[in-house]
Amino acid sequence: MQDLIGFSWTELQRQWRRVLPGVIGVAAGVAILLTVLAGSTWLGAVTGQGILSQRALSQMTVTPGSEPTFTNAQVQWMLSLPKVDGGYPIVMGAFPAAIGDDGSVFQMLNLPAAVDRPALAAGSWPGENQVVLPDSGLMSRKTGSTIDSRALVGTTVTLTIPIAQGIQGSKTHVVTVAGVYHVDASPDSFGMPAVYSTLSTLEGILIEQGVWAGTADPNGSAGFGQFVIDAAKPADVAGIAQQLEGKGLRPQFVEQSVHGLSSRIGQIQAAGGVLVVLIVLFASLSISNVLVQAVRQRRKEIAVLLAVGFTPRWIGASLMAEAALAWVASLVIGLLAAEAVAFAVFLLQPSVGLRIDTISVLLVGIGALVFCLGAAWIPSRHAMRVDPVEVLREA
Amino acid sequence: MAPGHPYVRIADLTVVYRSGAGHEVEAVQSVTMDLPRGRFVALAGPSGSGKSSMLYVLAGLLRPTRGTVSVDNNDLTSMSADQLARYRCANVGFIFQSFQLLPHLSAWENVALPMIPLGVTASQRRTRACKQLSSIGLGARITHKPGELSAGEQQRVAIARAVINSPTLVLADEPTGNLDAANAALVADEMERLVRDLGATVVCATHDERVASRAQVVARMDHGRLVEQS
Repeated sequence: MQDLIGFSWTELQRQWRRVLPGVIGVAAGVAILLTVLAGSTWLGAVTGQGILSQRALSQMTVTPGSEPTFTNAQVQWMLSLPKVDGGYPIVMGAFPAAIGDDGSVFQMLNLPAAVDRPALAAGSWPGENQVVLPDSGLMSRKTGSTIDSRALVGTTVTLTIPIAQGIQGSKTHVVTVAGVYHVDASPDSFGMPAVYSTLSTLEGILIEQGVWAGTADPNGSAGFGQFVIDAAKPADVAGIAQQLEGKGLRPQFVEQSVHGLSSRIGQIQAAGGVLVVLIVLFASLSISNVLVQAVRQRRKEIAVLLAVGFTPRWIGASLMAEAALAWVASLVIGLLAAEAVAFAVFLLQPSVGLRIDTISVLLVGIGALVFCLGAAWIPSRHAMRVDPVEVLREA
Repeated sequence: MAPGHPYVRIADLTVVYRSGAGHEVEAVQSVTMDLPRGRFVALAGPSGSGKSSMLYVLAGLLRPTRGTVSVDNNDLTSMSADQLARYRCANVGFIFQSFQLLPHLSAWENVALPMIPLGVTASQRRTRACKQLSSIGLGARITHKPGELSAGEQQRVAIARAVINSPTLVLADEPTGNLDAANAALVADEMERLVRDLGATVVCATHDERVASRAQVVARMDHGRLVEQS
């Protein structure tokens, strides 16, 4: 084996000018493929850590079309659709909210203003369950008096929230109000430090409470104009969206951007794949052509080798070994080029971490080896079939 | 096997070449002869008489169309390509009229070539090749490429390559054809030495009567037939 490789290496050195284009071609293919794989891995990781990891692919945002808010019936219908796991409203805007000592946050603004409201029974408002919530506080619908929401702080209140009013009843919380949350307000807007929370916390509470189904009136406003639907699977999203559109609602896919990105990644991969195949094909043809020419030019040499006792198999193997050595050179050059590209990308855009991983190198390397050996196969068969007598008689 | 015992047995040997156009040329026609071991045998005859074809058959490079050939009781006609290659490597040395040295290899590398299939280590190959070249007066030429050697020196390198594995059968195809009289005499001397010192059987195809006259056995061929053996 050592002699075979040594012999082939000598021949390769002798033929290096002719072999060089093939080696460069395979190396280019290896480098491009490794870079594309590293880029895809990076993009996949980025999207996976971002939107994908939040189940965005199975979610969609729905708006009621021309209407400002959903009706209760629409919400109930959306939730009754097959393959819908659940949903929650997106509540935005400036509003005060009571924060319980258990960490709960209770929204007090974005509730239906005209009809049924969440029952709010507070110690300071016995029997009060009809309140409207202007920006500055709570207002009794019975008396019309405005109550500063700060009055709730430190008191024990019972908050009854209709999680699915008229459908599943309500949920009652007895908490001591620890603070008042007021979005978009300065810390001292109520003369006391505000307790800040995030919208997602509020949404989380609503999700925890279950389905927000609005009020008992099917045609009454559910109180929100955006709703997020969780599909059971990403594959179900399109079908659900079609049904929503059939009802005049407007679904928006959170996944649309992801899907677009995925498509672009796919297009990049496909283009890269085609490019690589073309380059490696050209390179393998080049190697094959070089070896075929080499066999033609080396017929006399092969005949002499056969005459002095080399077996045809050895001759064929030496050509395959030459291709294998060309592959090693191509792989090393391609790997270095890919690493150089990754480093250049890092210098230009430090946040983009392209990493040439071992598995990619193994896969691409094996693929390139198959190409190189495949390219050498026919020439090696030709070499094995050289008739030494015919060649030596010509000489 | 004692000297004089048939070492090479050729029976009813016929070689037919087929051209691409479908023409057939009968290069060797029903030749039967025995060659003793350890002798200098000259295959004499004009060009096209079938001498080279006989050598190629004896080397296992050419399969006869008909007949059998055995060397040292090994039937060449029944051997596979790989077996024939091993037979050549271990038993046969071939000397060509046009030397057939590989131009990109040095003298010692050319001489060392037949040792590669035998698995001789690189260092041993170099040592033995250099020793062989020194023994024929080419010690100062071991690193020279064939293009840097005279015709006589090239042929001596080719002879060194042919005998490096101590073959029992040395086949020479017009070895003096490209040489002047002085170098031809040196080559003939060398072939005699191979018989004398190595006990090899040397079969030399030649139309040079000066070489043929130095052979112990002369087989004359004409138009593919053996016409005389003495």
